[in-house]
This record gives sequence, C-alpha cells and structure tokens, in this order.
Amino acid sequence: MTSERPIRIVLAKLGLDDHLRALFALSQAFRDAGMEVIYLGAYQTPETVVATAEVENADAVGLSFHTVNYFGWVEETMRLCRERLGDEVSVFVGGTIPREDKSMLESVGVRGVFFPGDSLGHIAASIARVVGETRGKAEATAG
Amino acid sequence: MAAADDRRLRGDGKTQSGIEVKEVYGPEDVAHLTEGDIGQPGVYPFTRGSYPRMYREKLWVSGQQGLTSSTPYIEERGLDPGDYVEQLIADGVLTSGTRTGGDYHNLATIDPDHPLVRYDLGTCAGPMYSLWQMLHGRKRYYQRIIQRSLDEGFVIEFGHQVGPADVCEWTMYLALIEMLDWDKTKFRGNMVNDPLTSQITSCMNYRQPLDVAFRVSCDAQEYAYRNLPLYRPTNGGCAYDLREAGINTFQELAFRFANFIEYADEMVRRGLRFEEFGNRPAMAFSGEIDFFETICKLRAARRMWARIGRERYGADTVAMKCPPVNTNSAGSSMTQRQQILNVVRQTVETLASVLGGVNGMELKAYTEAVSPPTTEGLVVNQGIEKIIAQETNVCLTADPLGGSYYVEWLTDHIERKSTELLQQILDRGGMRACVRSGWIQGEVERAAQDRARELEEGRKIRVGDNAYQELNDYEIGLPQFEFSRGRPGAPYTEKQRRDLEEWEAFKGSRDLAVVSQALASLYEATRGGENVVPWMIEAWKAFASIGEVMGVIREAMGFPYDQFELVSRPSWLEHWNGRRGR
Repeated sequence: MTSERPIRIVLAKLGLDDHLRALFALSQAFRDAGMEVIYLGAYQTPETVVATAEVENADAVGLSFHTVNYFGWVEETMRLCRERLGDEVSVFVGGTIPREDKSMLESVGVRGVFFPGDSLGHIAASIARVVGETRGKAEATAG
Repeated sequence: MAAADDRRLRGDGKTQSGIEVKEVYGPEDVAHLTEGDIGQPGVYPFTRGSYPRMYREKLWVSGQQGLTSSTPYIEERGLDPGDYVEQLIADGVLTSGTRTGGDYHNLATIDPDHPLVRYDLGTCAGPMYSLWQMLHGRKRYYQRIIQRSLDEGFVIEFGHQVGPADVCEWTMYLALIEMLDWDKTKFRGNMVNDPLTSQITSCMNYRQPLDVAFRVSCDAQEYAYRNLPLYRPTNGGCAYDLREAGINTFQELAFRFANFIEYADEMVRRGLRFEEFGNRPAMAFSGEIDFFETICKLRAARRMWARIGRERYGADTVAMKCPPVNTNSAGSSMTQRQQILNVVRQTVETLASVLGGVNGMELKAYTEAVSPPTTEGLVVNQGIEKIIAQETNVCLTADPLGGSYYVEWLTDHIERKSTELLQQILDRGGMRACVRSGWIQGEVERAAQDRARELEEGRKIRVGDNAYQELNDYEIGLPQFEFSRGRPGAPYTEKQRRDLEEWEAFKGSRDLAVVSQALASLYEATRGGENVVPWMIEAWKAFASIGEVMGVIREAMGFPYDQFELVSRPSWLEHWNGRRGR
C-alpha cells in the first residue's frame, strides 16, 4: 500500500539565517519517527528547496526560521511549490514565529506552524497526520 | 498534583553536562588538590580570580547590546539610533560599553543586493556595507560612539564570531579614525573575531572559505597586537557561541582553547611572543542556568589558560597577567512563553558568573527567544547587575566559594575532562584539521540532538516548556518589540525599502576609477602575502563595499568572488582578468 511508504521530508533554512540547532534536532527526531529526511541545511533559496522536493519526490517541506521577516521567503516558496508541484507537497513552518502569524501562514497554504517549546514528538506526529490525509485524498481521487 | 509529588526533584539527577553528582562531598574528594591548583586570586594559576582584590578593585564591564542589533526596531519607532544610544548612556542603561551585532549580509560579507539577502536585509541590525554610511549616510552617529571610545574608554565590542565581518567593520572604524585625524592608539574595545567557531558550529560560516577567514582574522590580530595597545582583536575562541550550538561544558572549554591555540601558534609563527599577546584575548563563556557548573567552568577556564601559557608557550608564571573572563547569559535557556521567568533565569546566570569571577558580562534580555532587547529589557538587565553588585554583598570578597569541597572537586573535574578532550583535538592535528575533516561539526550536531532529546524525555527540566506548563496559563505581559514584517503581497518592510534606496544612493555617489584602484591594490597585497588590514582601510576610504572588499580578497586567495557563486565580480572590475595568473 502506498500509504505505508515512509514520509519523505525536505528540511531547509532560507536566505542567510543559519541558526541550525532546530534542524539538527528535527532531522534526528524525524528519522527516529521513521521518516526519510532530505537535509538541505542553510543558505537555500525557494528555488533550490522546491527543485529538491520535486527531484526527491518529497511529501513535505519543513522550513525553519529564526528571523523576523520570514514571510516573503514562505510566500515565494508556496508560489513556486504550487506552480511546480500542485498540492502534492505539504509545507510546514517552524521557529521563532510570532504566534499571531499562524492564520496568515495557513492562508497562503502552509499546513502546519510550530513554535518554540513545541515538543519534537508533537511536530513529527502533526506532520505524519497531515501527510497521511494528503495521501488519502490523492488515493481517493486516483481510485 | 499531590504535595508530596511537587517536592520531588525532577530530571536525571546529573548536571547539564551529564556530570554525576554525589549526595554530599567531603575532604576526601579534594585530597589530591594542592595549593598550586587553587592558590590565591590574581596569582598563577588564577583559579580564584584574575586579580587579587577582585570586585573590591573594580566591578565587571557591563556590555549590553544597545547599538546595531536593535537598530531596525529603533528606527521603526522613529528614533535616531545615535540619539537612542546617547539616551541609553544618559539613563545609565549603557555604562562601560556596548556590543554591536552585524546584519546578515554584513556577517556573510556580501552586498545588500545579493540574491541570498532579499527579505533578510536589515533584520539583524542596520545594514553596514561601506564607510560612506558613517560619513554621509544613516550611520553618521557612529562618529559619536567611536569618539567616546577614544576619549572616555567606552568599550565597543563586535559580537560576530565570523572573523572577516568583524574585521571589515573594525577596519571601517579605523579608516574613519584616520580620515578624521583622531588617535587610533587610544581605540579601546574588543572583537570576537573567531572564524573557527562559525566553522565548528556551521552557524554563521556563510560558506566563507576557512583559509580566507583565518588569514583575515589573523592579519587583524597581528595588526592590533603591533599597533593598537588597548585593543583586544579576538576573544580567542567564542565559547559562548560554541555552547549555544548545543555542546556541553567540557566541549565548550576544549573547543575554545583549541581555537585559542590555533591563533596563538599563528602569532608565534609571525614572530610575536606569548607575553606580547597571550592575555589580550578576553575569554567569553556562556553563563548557563546550571549554577555550579557555570561557576566551576569559569574557575577552570582561568586555570587552563594559565597552564597552556606555561606549558605550551613557556610563559613566565610570575609575570603572567590573567586575561578578562566574560560571560553572556545563555540565550538558549530563555523561553518564548512567560518571559518574566527569563528575568529569573538571567538573575541566576548573572549570580553564577559573578561567583565564578567574571570581568565582563552581557545579559540577554527577557525577549531573547523572540527578539533583541527592548529598552525595558535593557533596563531590567541593568537592575539585575546592579542588585547583584550592590545589594547582595557577594562582591565583598574574592572567590567566596573557593575551598568548598564540591566547588573545588567540580572545578578540577571540569578542567581534567576538558583538558583530555583538548588533547584529543590536538592529537587530531588541531582545530583547523578537525574542521577540515568534518569531525568537529559532527560532534556539535550530535550534541545538539542529545540536548533536544534530553528535554523531550524530561531528563532536563525547562519550566513552562517541558514541565509546569500550568505556569503559562496566567500570562504576565511584558513589553515586546512591535515587529514590522512582511505580509501577503508586501514581503518587504518600509525600512527595507529605505535601506535599499540608501544602497542605491551609495552606489551612485562613487567614483569607480578610485574604488577600482584601491581594490586592485588590495588584490595585489593579498596575493603578495602582506597584512591585508592597511589595504582594507584604504579600500574603505575609497568607498568600496563589503562585498567588493571581501570578494577581492577571496579571489586573490584563489576562491570564487562570491562564496555562494550566485553573483560575479562587477563588470567595472573586469580589467583584472589580464592581470590574474601572472
């Protein structure tokens, strides 16, 4: 069954913010949870992230931010993602994101937003649930 | 929750770095230590403090952030950053010094219009790319700050560990001092200037080639040791930033001294004696929430420095003067929710730093998990420092915990384990070799994962995050920065548009023939193995930009002009093609 295929997630930071500690911890936690992590690290652009998601046939993209003006990066990534990949890839955002920005991020199609203090287990489980739903819908459409 | 359960000590019962702690310590635990290990304050091996009378002689330097890191937010509130800093000084918020932080493009040594900058422009600090800004642009207030350094000894610290970024800003200051005909030998301050740390932690390395970063950093160190008697041109290993990447106490000390040894060996190779520079780098450690580990780490650090000086460089222990030991309160200990608890954390970290005998301190603010300090945060920080200094009476006597069985045992244990790890690094060929092989980056990555797992599994406690979350329910509001930030359809802020306009104005103001000539000289000097500092100063005076200056140095050393390989050398510098390769 396709839904038993491990979840493949691209992890990246965009632009010049390179506070990597969260990505180190997440990549380990996601692997422990049975996911396949495609680790891009820092200094990425929306173009490199979306191209990687496409080539790697990823289910999800996780973007981590430790900077104030992160929204433009997300918006560009979402636009490219839609153009190139449709709804196949779920994008998740985490980091020092002001809590009140959650609905703004969801309004541009981000499927999950995570904040400082959220447990690694909670983040992994949320991503698995969303990806499961997306796969379920795709299978229903295909069937 | 049952009352009995609430009195249970949680966590794994070990220190932050996993040290097993006995229920009680006694004379047998310190029987192996001698007077030569502990000694007196101000005397080799400096376990008990840098100078004999410690805080009776002088309190620590309070080096709060107040300058560039907060600039974006200050400007957004319609204030002039220069007036803001003057006001902070007048209000007693900034006292003996301040720290500057760099903007992302500045740290990466690329220009504001580089494609990797985009929405990050000016979000860390005010963009800083040219001397022109300090003479004709919005950075004119730097003239006042620098004058304070020359006239009053106000300490300006550069808080970047990336090396070349520090050296760029510092040489811009030197260029300004020369242009205004001021006396640069009075220039006081210190630079982090430790490019190895950014390579070790993979944070802030910006793909700067290690050879370029090391060369520029060491050129600046040598220049300062020979020409600027009051300046501390490196902290010899930015232990604070290393620790913030997730490593433990032993790694913090071992990595710091492995970096120090790389720089010191290079200075010796360049003909300087340890006595001429060995105590110039101020040591900057993390003031962690683990109280006794922090105290004992600081005591162990001085002893390690002293023993390295004697054993590796043959320094005379009687003439030896201990360098200042500083801390930053641990940003990673701060939480986003219920930020008033961060004030408590900072108080504990500050007290630990003082009991460990620091000579300088930079407190983060309660907002640290989300933003640079608000003015309110800076005021609270001053309050913490002043209460500990003036109300608690802990400053009345030097090293008040010296002689405690636990403190002496733990100091010795930390020094021993850290020295073993340092020796392993040296056996692997030293820190540069460990960076090149990738071994050290792997150690950091694993450490960060271990720290995250400890919190996840409740082996370490963070109140409000992984325990006692009920304390977040009643939120005690504190003033926060009002961030301007991108919105759907408007990803750039007003200030970013102003920054880009200023960048265009700068570019339009230049005589490219003059810039080109200065950059050509810098190129030749770099290739010829000269110290790059005087040539960087000349390039700033010609209004070269940071991307150009570092691009030229990178090319002269055989690396791409742009380390990200997204932009190429400007067309007006193309005439160099004929000259290269000769």
